[in-house]
Amino acid sequence: MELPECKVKFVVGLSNGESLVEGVGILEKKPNELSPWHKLQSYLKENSLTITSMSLNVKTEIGNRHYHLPNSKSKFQGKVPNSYNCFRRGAIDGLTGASGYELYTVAEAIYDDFKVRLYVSEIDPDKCWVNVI
Amino acid sequence: MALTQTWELQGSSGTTIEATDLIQFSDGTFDNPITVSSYNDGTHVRSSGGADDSDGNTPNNVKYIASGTADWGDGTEDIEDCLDGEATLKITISESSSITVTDITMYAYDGTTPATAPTGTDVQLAEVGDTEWTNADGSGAALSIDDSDTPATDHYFYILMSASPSTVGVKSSNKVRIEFTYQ
Repeated sequence: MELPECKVKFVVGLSNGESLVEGVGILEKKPNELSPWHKLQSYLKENSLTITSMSLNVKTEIGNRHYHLPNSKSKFQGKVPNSYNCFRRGAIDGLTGASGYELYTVAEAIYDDFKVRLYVSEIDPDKCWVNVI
Repeated sequence: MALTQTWELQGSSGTTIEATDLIQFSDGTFDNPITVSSYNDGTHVRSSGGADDSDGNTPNNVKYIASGTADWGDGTEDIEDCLDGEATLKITISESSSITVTDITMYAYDGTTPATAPTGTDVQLAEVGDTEWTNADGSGAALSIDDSDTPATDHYFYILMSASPSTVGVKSSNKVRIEFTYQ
């Protein structure tokens, strides 16, 4: 089963003031190169940078969606995370003649004792969920 | 290319299990049922039209014997001695760019609610290298599969799978699910 190309992209602000978007510029997705997330990790390490903000952006039938995690410039005085992570979480059914899948792009704010996870559906990116774990 | 996931029943040649195919556990003969409370003596790929797609590929069959043992053709052996090529399934997760695949679980369920055990069936799963089977009936009892955390375009997982009916009848509503994180 081939899943659709992910529509939801991460956007990060860095400690040098730079903003990077998944799939654009140095985070372009290219065959046989590191994925955009791993390219970002290499870039951070090579330049001694950190992520200071993270959001997930997607264009849906309704309009442009921007889902933000707490950050140092938060409008709502939220607790500033220690770090951030972004990944895809997939679930695929098989072997029984009735294949199906779920796929989410997940932005994660990491604190000392817990994490805030923002899940955006790749099937219907107008829908999102937040978990604290 | 976006993410691709394939299921393959291993054998002298692999048989890809397409989206509309199903894996069939039998008494050793294609389309023959297993006696209640016994485990599979045959594993095949059945097409939506009822054909044996694995015919001619000498498909592997791994039969659950006890918590740490199985028979994959040479009598009862410890499952930790099962090699990649002797496992039931080869699962491939691929992307055009190099990704890592982590937090992987696999389980059977009733086809509707992941937490609910499959109907009338006990499903045993193990990853090659495991010392014990996991009775992976529902997401709460899922098999945990080792991370593949070195970036690569292709990631392979080798899984032993065995099933036993607990009641009489076809068990076609149940499903098998793999969950994973990639980045």
